[in-house]
Amino acid sequence: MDRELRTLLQDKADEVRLHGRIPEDVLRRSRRRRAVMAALAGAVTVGLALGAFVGARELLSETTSPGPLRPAAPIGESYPYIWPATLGELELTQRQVAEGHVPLWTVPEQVAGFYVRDVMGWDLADAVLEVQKGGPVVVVATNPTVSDIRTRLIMALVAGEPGPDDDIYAVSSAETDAISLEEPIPGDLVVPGSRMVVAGRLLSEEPGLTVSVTLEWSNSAAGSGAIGGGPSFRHRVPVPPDVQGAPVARIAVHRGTDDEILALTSFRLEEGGAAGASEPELVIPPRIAETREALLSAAQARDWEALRALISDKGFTFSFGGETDPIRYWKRLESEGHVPVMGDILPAVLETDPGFERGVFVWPAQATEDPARWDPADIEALAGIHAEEDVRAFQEAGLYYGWRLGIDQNGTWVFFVAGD
Amino acid sequence: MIGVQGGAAVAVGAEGGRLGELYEAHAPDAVRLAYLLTGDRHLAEDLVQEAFVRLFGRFRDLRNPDAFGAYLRTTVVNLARSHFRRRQVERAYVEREGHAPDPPEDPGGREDMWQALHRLRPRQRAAIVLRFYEDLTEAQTADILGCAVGTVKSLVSRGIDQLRGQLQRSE
Repeated sequence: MDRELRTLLQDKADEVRLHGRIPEDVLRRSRRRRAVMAALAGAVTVGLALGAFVGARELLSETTSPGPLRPAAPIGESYPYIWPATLGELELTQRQVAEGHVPLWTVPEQVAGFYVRDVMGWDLADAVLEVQKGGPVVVVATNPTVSDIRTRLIMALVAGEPGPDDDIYAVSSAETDAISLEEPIPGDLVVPGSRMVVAGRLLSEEPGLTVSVTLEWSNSAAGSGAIGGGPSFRHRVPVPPDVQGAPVARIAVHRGTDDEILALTSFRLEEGGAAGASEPELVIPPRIAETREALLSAAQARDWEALRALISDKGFTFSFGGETDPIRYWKRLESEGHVPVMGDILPAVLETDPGFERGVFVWPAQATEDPARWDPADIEALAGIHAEEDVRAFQEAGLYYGWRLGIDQNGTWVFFVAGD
Repeated sequence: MIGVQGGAAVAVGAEGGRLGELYEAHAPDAVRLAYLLTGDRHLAEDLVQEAFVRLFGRFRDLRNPDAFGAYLRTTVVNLARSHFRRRQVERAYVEREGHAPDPPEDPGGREDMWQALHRLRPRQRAAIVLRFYEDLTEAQTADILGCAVGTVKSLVSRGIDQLRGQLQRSE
């Protein structure tokens, strides 16, 4: 019996031949997932550093926010649905339905099921999908295993060329009662090479909720981390300069830093403006500049005690390894001979240009950006801190996990750390 | 993703490079394993694609990238088991609409065994496939299934007994 079973399994396995290269769909979904995961990883780091996030919005308004980018006139029409994700996928699905395959696309609850499974990552066995009575076709999706928050999926019956045989349901947009958005709104314009501001309030009273933002184009994705700590949120998502078409915005509700999506609001934005729009120059407020100067002076003088005096007694992050004293830890790294923290790395980090993320000025700026969008100037800037192979490793990992330093809006030094 | 992957274009260029290499290196074996677990080639491809999406999304978190194949195997097994749980939801619609599974193409003793294998509980079938096809040890199988070694022994032993019983009844 054992031998027969082994032979059968081997023979059956040999019948299966998989041709080929990675399907575009797999790559696209991987990019999307990675964008969210990278954003969440960043959120973990900064969350640890800050302890509690407060006042980002106020700080943004008084310093560097470029504000929403809304060119005066819309440009052209775009594919209006968020699922299937592209016109090509929709047309292919219609053809398959017309040929008698995948009939589930003609049933709103089933299409909603595909959406919550493939986009929200739910196990279908956990999903409760109900068609709302009256009016346009709306499927209310909840996942009681994670939350009672509802997501309404607004469905559209899409007619194709041959006739009613290829009519399928597509998802036009998704809305959750847990989020109230101030900006953007569906149809807002996105300028390649700029930053998109996504702001609003969490309305749910469930504790510990956070919000992440993902913009997805057919050729790229951009993410911003899950932000919690208060009902208001404001994300600034870098828009890659080489994106094509209109992106889908996903504003997702999570619990803490868990990547599981409890609910989301999603809609399509409009492509607008020319690539290469300039980004406002980052202005460093005096109190942040003073702290930077003090840190630089202490490092250049190799004055450990001066450095210690600048360390916040609450929420300072310097290691993910359970260390308790930053100065002792950095001295130990130096004594082991391979990490010149004080004399080399700290000054080098502070000599770079800063970025701004979640209420914190971060050196180097590249730590706040997706490595996939680093240009040669970014790589050159990082070469002052890290070896070339390390920079390549960040790019391959899709995440900068090298040395970075943060000073918050009060001028408090909140982190100096490497690792993920 | 149902409805689009059949004609999906493949990714080209540097962007898909590393992921593409991993896919080409590991996907064929993973699809074979998924097929043995599910008995459905298209579903097997779906599951493996989903497994890749999940692993690619977390790839930087993998402490040992060389162990990608092992991570993938575990993910495929878990997705297959998850599939059989959620199939309870979809089965009602499919049966109502009359889309029954295709009959076996090759009736006979071997096909009986194949059919009998797929009448086992998913966890039993996974244990048997991992032990008899993947040639994993009981401990390795227990790791993947998230159970004790003793449970693996029991799953395999009872699974074989049930296979024998089903084959005897079909004779």
